[in-house]
Amino acid sequence: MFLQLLTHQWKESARSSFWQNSIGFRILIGFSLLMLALYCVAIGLFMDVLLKMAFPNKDLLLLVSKGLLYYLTIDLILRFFLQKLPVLSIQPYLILPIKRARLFNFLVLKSVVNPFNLLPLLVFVPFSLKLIILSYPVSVVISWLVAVIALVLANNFIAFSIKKYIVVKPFLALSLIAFVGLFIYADYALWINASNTFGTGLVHISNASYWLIIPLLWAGLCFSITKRLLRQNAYLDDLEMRKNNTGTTTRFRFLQRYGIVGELMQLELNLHLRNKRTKSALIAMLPGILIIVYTYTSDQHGPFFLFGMTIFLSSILMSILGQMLFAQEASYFHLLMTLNIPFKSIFEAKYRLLVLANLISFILFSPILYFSYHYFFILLAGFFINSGINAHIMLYASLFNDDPIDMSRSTFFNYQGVNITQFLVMLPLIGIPTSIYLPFRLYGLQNMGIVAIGAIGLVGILLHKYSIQFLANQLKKRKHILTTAYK
Amino acid sequence: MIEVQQLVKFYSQKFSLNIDHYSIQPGECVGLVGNNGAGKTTLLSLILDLMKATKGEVLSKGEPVAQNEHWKSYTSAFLDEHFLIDFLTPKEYFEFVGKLRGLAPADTQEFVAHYSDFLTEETIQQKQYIRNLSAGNKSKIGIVAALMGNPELILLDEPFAHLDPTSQNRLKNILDGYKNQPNVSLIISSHDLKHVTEICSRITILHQGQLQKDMATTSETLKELERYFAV
Repeated sequence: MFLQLLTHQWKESARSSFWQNSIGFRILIGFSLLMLALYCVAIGLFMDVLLKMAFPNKDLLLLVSKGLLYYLTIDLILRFFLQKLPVLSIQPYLILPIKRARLFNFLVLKSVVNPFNLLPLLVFVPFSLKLIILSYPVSVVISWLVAVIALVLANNFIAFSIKKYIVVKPFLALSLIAFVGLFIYADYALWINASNTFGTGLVHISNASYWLIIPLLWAGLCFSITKRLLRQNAYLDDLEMRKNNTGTTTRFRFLQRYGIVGELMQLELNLHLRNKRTKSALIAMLPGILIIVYTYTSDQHGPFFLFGMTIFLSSILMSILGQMLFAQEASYFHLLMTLNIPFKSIFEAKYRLLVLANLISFILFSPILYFSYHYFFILLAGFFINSGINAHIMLYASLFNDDPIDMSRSTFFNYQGVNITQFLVMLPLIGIPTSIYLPFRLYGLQNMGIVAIGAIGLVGILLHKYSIQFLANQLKKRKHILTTAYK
Repeated sequence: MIEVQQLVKFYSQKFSLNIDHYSIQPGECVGLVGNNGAGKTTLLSLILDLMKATKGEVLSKGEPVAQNEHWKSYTSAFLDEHFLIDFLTPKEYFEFVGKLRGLAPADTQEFVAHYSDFLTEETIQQKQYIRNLSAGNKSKIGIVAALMGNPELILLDEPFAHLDPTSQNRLKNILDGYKNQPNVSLIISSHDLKHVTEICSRITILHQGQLQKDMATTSETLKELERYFAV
């Protein structure tokens, strides 16, 4: 029976829609994953060298054991937000004559195969090998590794149980992150002694291997708690998660003045606000944005690099909202095509939405002024070129995106609708402004270059009516291809 | 109203819709019947210009639907869930469609209230998104939205599917009301022979893409259909 379930599992992944992507894309993803894995192994192998540079006189094992507490805490938080128990996948099995206990054993054990558990293995197994090379006793190293794996697995199981009781809300998320930050800071500043206690404890366990029973028991306990919890809750109403969520009915009053176009904008805004995908894309972008903002404060980066970063910031919201313009409306595209809406209005609405997104990006990042006037003006020029030229390119490209998107799914580990056109669209976002800017820069006329970008963008904005007419004609030609694709 | 000329459309590897000539007059109510794969939905999609015909064309009020979009101002349809917007509440959905069919929000409310028996209170009042509703309730919402704003041509694909018995009878009464309206044409595809023969003034049987029979409804029609589909 277990074997049957395993083969189903294998079929599920082997037949997943991911493999229907083009071969080039699969190679790209595979290559990135391989690189990531290699980085992890490299970190594991050279951790001793890195730590020796930072803390020359400390014991390696103790140092890593201390740091492990931070790792496990952050790991738990990340799992809490990102990890999902695939409960739905067992729904068809519930009515078949399979023992429930077995089903849930399988389900919970299955969750062990998961990137969160794979990454620490990739880091800590090479690190353990290195420890042995550095003449730590083999038995100690092995005990240590087993303890670490047990703790990671315990995290894996306990995250589901916590998730069951606590609903993720933005406020809660922020306060959790703040709490963890405070905890780590308090420990680092030696207000509390958590990591020291944890580290010495872990080293102690490794030295006397019969103490290994503690982490192993902890992992086992977490496993059985999660399993019990799942068994108690495995009824249809729980699985479907149909928590009578009364919908919020946001109306953007100012949009009502714009007739059909306003109505369509309202619709598309709701599409983004009420579905998971956009939100999760924004969350995924957040660390990147923080890193970029951080680069302004350091002097190590050349002005040309920061030019690219600023342009990127100015287009960030548009690139999230505009990547899959028609594909994200796949579920009601047929309705749009039979309602009495002129095609021009459809594009007009999308265009205004993209401009609105650019405006918000501009306002959001305008505190850049604090670092330098120069980058502020690049940001402004970016607003113009994004609204005047790039928005039209995105609208045009959207006509060729014939992978329907399920907007209610999160973007994490979700390759739906990821295809080559999407990557191609991202190119001009930075490429066009850069290619305008470069010739000016070569002659030392940076400021003229920025003005040129802004001016070209402005012309594009003024001429947008013509481009929308062109797009409407294109939609007329592509309509049947899209209606068939979005079936 | 609708004029189909030399229409050919390949919709599966085996069969193609192949209709030489077929027309629907204003005020007619046509029932499309046929087993799965007969081409009913394909025909409806072609009338709505959701598919491109391999050959031939569909004329609506004398104008080819593939050429211009005039037909959109007097045509409405509910074929499947692709005609719903699942992240809106029913009220918002009605307002959206109503606006595009020329109804002010107040008119929309009045219109929906008129069908409150059919929709049932819970569907309208609940502030739930359409995606959380049951198949039957979804279908009711789509059907009522297709009736909004006095369309002259209404296309419904299996409107009775998913509906509970009471709702089926209510829908039958609603559609019956269109019998006396000389300027509204209905095309209804259905597997429920009893319902279509009671509502429609004309029955068309499709079989593997071909027009098999086309007849005016009489008291004998139901028996004839049952004989035709008997195994």
